[in-house]
Amino acid sequence: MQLNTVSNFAAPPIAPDPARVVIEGSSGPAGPATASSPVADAARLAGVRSAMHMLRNPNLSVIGGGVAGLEAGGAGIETVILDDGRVRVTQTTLLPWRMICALRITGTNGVRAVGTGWLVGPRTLLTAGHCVHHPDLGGWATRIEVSAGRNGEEFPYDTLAATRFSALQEWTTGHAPELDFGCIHLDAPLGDRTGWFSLQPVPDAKLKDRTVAIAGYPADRGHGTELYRHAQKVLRVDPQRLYYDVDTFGGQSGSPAWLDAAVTAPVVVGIHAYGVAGTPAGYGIVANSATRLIPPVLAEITRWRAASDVQ
Amino acid sequence: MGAIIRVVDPSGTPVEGAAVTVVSGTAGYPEMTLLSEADGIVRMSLPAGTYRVAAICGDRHVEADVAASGETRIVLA
Repeated sequence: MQLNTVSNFAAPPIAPDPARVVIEGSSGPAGPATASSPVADAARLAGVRSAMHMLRNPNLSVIGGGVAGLEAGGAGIETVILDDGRVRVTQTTLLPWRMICALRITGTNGVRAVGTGWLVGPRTLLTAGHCVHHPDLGGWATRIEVSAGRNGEEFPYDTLAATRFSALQEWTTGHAPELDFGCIHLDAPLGDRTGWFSLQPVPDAKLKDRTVAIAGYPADRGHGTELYRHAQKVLRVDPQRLYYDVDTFGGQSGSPAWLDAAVTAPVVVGIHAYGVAGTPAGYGIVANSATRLIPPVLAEITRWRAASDVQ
Repeated sequence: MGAIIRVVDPSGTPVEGAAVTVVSGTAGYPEMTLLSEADGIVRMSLPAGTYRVAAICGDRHVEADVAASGETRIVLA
């Protein structure tokens, strides 16, 4: 599969390397060779363990303390499927939550939108293609404000303004759902403060019947300022899309979908982009869906990351 | 062709900053969430068909059926 990148800036000419399809994640600041204290390391490790415990216990009604629970979602609310299983995450400075960002998007036509992005490198975020380029934005976004780990009116990692974006030409011209993903290039190395997700191709057989977790900033909860997560089983695996009954809502476009497994760092397998309206009627399932991170897609993402890192 | 959604409060005053998103409708339209402008308007390039759209502002959440072209008024009560 030949994919073609387009950007709203003069991106450096970096050839895609089909062999480079794995991105190693990072847990963030203060590795062993730096001035991190044993206390800080222990706290960070406890945070990772705590986060992973929460990932393996989707029945917890509250994550990270704070005000409990959600009011029950009504039937028929967009892509919240039956009872609303989303729970709020308030400890957004812990892994993996701090790698997920609330987005405030401004289009070329001045239209504003909200979405979710997540870090895949020091200066690179991934999100849905329609968050960086869409007819309803007048084409390219002109500015996206990125707030990692946003928690209501708390901005633990400040807010960065991005103006450079990339997507696939196949998305900007054809709007194919299976290629609905895009990139936000940052001027500052936000990922060095938060860490970033791992990416690697996962074959169909290893996705079927697995539990996938999605976390993002829905518009119906805090107007896109509060992080919510939910995890459910994968219902269907297509060559380029993944379908699941994880509850989401508008504003969570671009959220990472990762395997809810006992690993030290979550591996993202898709980018959430569609509600139930995006699932073909003939499939016989009520599901939301993500663009899968298959090898050709991952090769483009590694190229985007390299372009971000060129100063 | 395009849908125009005008979000107002019960007095008819335009609501700026309401989040508007497609709840159901033709397959293929992404989970775009646009914010209404000062005149309460959101414009969506929806393929032909009828859609259900949600408008949210604060604790107000209203859904309405919207045609792919023409104007629909949503009252956030």
